[in-house]
Order: sequence, then structure tokens, then C-alpha cells
Amino acid sequence: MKVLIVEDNEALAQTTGWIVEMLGYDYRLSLTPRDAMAAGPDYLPDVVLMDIGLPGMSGYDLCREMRQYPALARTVFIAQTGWDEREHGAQSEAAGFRHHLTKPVDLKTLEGVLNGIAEDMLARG
Amino acid sequence: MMTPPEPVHILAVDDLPENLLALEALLRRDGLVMLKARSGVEALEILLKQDVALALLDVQMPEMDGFELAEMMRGSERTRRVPIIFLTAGSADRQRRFRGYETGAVDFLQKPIEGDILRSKIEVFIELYQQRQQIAAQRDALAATAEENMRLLRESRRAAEALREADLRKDEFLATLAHELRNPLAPIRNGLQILRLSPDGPMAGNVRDMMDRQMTHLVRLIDDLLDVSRVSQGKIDLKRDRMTAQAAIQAAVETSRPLIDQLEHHFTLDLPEAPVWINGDLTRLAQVIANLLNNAAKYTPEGGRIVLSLSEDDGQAVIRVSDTGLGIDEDMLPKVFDLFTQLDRNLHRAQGGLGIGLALAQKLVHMHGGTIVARSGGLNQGSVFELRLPLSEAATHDRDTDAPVETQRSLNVLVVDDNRESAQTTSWMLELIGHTARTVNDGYAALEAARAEQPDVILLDIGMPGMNGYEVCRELRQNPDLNDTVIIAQTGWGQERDRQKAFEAGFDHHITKPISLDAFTRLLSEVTAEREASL
Repeated sequence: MKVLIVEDNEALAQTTGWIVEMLGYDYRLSLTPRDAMAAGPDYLPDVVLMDIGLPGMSGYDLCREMRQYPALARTVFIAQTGWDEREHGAQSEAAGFRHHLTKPVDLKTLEGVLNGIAEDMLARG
Repeated sequence: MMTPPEPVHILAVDDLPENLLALEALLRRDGLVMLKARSGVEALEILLKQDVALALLDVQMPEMDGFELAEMMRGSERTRRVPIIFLTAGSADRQRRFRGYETGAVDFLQKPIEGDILRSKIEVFIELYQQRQQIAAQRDALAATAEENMRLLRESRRAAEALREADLRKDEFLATLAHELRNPLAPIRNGLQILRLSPDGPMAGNVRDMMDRQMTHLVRLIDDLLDVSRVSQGKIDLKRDRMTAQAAIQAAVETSRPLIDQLEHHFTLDLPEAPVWINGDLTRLAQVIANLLNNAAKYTPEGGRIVLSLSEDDGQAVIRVSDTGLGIDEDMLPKVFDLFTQLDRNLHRAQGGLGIGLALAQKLVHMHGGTIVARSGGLNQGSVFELRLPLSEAATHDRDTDAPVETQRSLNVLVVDDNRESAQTTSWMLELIGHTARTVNDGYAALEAARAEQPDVILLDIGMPGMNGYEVCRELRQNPDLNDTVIIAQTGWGQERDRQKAFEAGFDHHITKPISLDAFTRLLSEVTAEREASL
């Protein structure tokens, strides 16, 4: 399973990548919305783990944009928001996020969500 | 409100002195001053200097007669309203009287003057005059009050506006602060989770490096915060010394070079060979210059150009940091040194920062008697920060450079800290660099352990419950067996006042938490060197 991590805090992006790797999945990092737009059709991620507070473009808008790609029709988008943005659950659902996690993301939670998605994919074939 | 009785002046004009004397005798009473003029010209001179309640004018005078004088008085704003009584010799005909009234006369009296009549008429005019003065005084007082009220209103509006703005900036600052603190904390937490799962996995080394960098960043943020609050409250003392501007610049470049290189900027250092002497606090000036360099690096797109130059001008050392970066909008220029001001946070969020660096820099520069200004041609035109510091007199001697002392004698260290984890990690660090360490967690235990073991060094936390570090130190200093023991105070986030207090209590050194391994190594090397020197 391929996970695209979109996060402008480089250290956070890298460590999240390492965690995803430890959980047994492949990952790629995008530090800017533009980079993510380019990585989407190229990397064809199964999961996009996306920070909401990105520079230049909000994660909501980026999610809407990326979901326009037909190649990403089955990709699961997961929103990650900071401590000050917890109330944004409804908004993230409207933008097309399947899951909404609050930062800093707990390893167990992330593991549960990613494993769930992987099982779904297996079941779907 | 009654005005205190001031003498009332009236003016009498007559070319014959005996007439004037007669008038004066006739009108003499308390509170009345008669000013005498022998001619129209003299009268006008007097009127320039003194307000009068009434003018008594002789009509027939050589050169300027009474009517001419009255006309001139009418023509000047100052004397326009002075009532005039003409004194005429013999009966004046209708035409003459008419001319008199035209020029502003209020009355005609024929000579010889009847004293009672003149006195009673004069009383009426004096009373009128006094009433008018009183009204004028009241009007002035009212006007002054109104003006004062307006001023106070304007002032309080301004203060309210400033307060509102400060409040707004505080809210923004708190949001920024939370964000900036979270930025390094989130990856540290991730790192911990990774290490817990796989302490020696392939990423462990990278994870630890990352956590170290993030922790350094976090400590720097908090240091800046505390610095700015201490500077604002006047709690920072500069440790000023004769030093070269080059020294501060070199130290700053060392600090900022990694960031400049990481962003692949072209960096030029333009320093004169001759030392530029100033009287300053090396650490603080290096901090200021490093701040300017970091800003230049952060606000310049990758691969930009940064130049740091030093020159002398007009008895000042001039340090200039210029870049080819984003520049500063004209509106922002005057505000860049304000506390909590930041360039558009969303636009440059990736660069982070609390918006306190320049405020801090400016305050520190002012404490050095210097100035700092920012210039920019506008957005994307780059910016120049110019720092000016007064030169100190010509060099008398070069200061000895204190090279770090290398030594590896093992010391026996007693670590005293009520925070068990802090004590434990400190002792691990000490053992790592070749010393032996033992930890205790309160003052009483420290006294006991010190008595029993007579350690080489006691590392003593200041803020402990029960017996604080100062008390423990004073107690320890009573014991002659511990004469050779070096006692080091350890406080949170170094406050200058604490430092002073620590030395008074008998500490040999003072360090602030958290202590880096490097600082520890250096300090203990110094301790060893001192001990060996004194033996």
C-alpha cells in the first residue's frame, strides 16, 4: 500500500514517513500543495495523509483538487489537523476526506486506520 | 469664580501737566491707577503696553488732537473697545460732538470738570470693564477646559486604539506561539514512538539526530521568549568588554552558516583587516547579527545572495547585512522592529518564527548605545539591515584568547536535583564524558552525601522544595572539608539575578538548564584546569 504524506513541517513529514514505513507501507513525502498535485498522478497513492494547514492552499481545497484525478478515484484521503483546528471535522468530510485525525497523531490510531484501509483493499481485491 | 481684585488702569491724555495732576487728584482712590500721557503719541505707546478701562482725552492738543487719537485707537484691535470720554474746554458745538461720537466717544465732559460727576461716570465704566474682564477670564477658562477635555479624549482614544492593537497582536502572537511550539514537538513525539517500537532499528540514528535538532530549536524559541521578556523588563545586564566587531561577526556567522548553506545562498563576508574595536557584550552582539543573518537566509529564495560587511564611519562601527530576498513592503518597514510583528504568516509560514527576533535585536543594540535600521526597495527588492555601534578607543592590548582547555581527569560529581529524571539524565551525561556521578533529590540528602564523600564537584539545582539551592550551598560552605569542592548552581532558563545571588551564596559557577553535553564538557574541563592550577 502506498501512502502520500502531505505536510509542510519537514521534520514531521519525515518522521511520519518513518512511522508509515515501520508499519510496513510504502511512503512518499510532499512538502507543498504543488508538489502533492504533481505526485498524485505519478505515485498513484492508495492513501493520502494530508495536513490541513498548508502554505498557500488549504488541505480542503487540495483534497477537492486531487479527487478530480480519475486515477485517484479509489484513493483514501485522511485529514490531519493541528490542536487548534479540532472543530473542522464536518468541513473535512465535505471536502472528501474519509478520516480525520488530530495532530500529533498517535501511532496506534494511525496504525488502526492504515491497517483498516489495507484490509478493505484486500477485501475489494 | 471671582477674579482677585487687580488694579484698574485708566488713561488720561492732556498736553497740560497741571490738568493731568488735577485729574489725578480728583480720581485718586484704591485700586485705580491713572496713566498720564502728554500727547497722542505718548498715549498710544502706553496703550501698547497696558489694557485700560477708560480713556479720558483732551480734545485740543498740538500735533495729534483728541479726535485723531480716538480714531487711531478705533483702528487698532487692542484699543478698539476702550470707552472714551472727551474733555472739552467750553461748550462743544453739535458738529464737533458728532465727530467725537463717530470716533467712538461715549461721553463729553466740559471743563472745568465736576469731580462728583466724573467720579460716578468713571465708576460705571470701571465696573463695566471689570465685568468684561471677568467674562473674558471665564470664557478663557472654559475654552481651556474644553481644549483640555478634547486633548484627553483624543489621548484616551489613542490609548484605547493602541491597547486594541496590542491585544490583537497578543492574540495573534499566542496563536503563532502555539503553532511554533507544536512544530518541533510533533516530530519529537513521532520520534519517541519510533524509538519505542524499534530502539535500534535502521532509522534510530536519524531519529535521534532529528530529535536533537528539534529540541535545539525548541530551546532556542523559549530562550528568545524569555530574553525578550527580560529585556523588556530591564532585567538583562550586558557583560561589556573591549572587543572587536569582527569577533561578534565571526561568532554569528558560525551560528548562521548552516542555515545559509542549507538554502544554498551565496554568502559574502566583507571585513576590514584592521580590528574594529567596540565596547560590547560579545554573546549578545553575536546573537543580534546571527538574527539578521538568519532572517536574510529565511526570507531569501534559495540560491540568493547575502552580504555581510563591516566598516567604520563617523566614529561608529557599521555592520550591514543585505540580501536579495523578499524585501519589506513600505508599510511594514517602520513596524519590523515591533514586538510580535511578522511578515504575512500564511505566506511565509514555512519559515516560522515568533516575530520577536528583530524586536530583541533592536533592544539589545539600543542597550549598546547603537542603532539599527531596515531599508528595502519594496517587495522582492531585497533588504538591508544596518547596525551602528559606537567605536571604543584604540586598542591598548589584545585580549588573550582563552582556548578551550582539554583535560580528561575524572571527577567525582554529586548531582542534586529534586527532578529525578533531570538528575538521572545529568548523571548519565557525566558518566558518558568520563566522570563518576551520584544523584540525590533534596537538600538534606545533599548535605549528608557531601559530608560522607567530599565530591570534587557538586551540581546543585536551585529551585528545590524544603531547602533551596542557595541554602544548601551556604550550609556546604560552612564545612571546611569541602573547601576544595567546586559547587555549581543549576537554574532554569538563566536569570541574571539568580546568577548574582548564586555567587553571593558561595557558588563557584552558574549554569542554566538544559545543559548541553558540550557545555558540560567545557565547564568541567575548566574546573579541572582551575584545580590543577591551584595545586
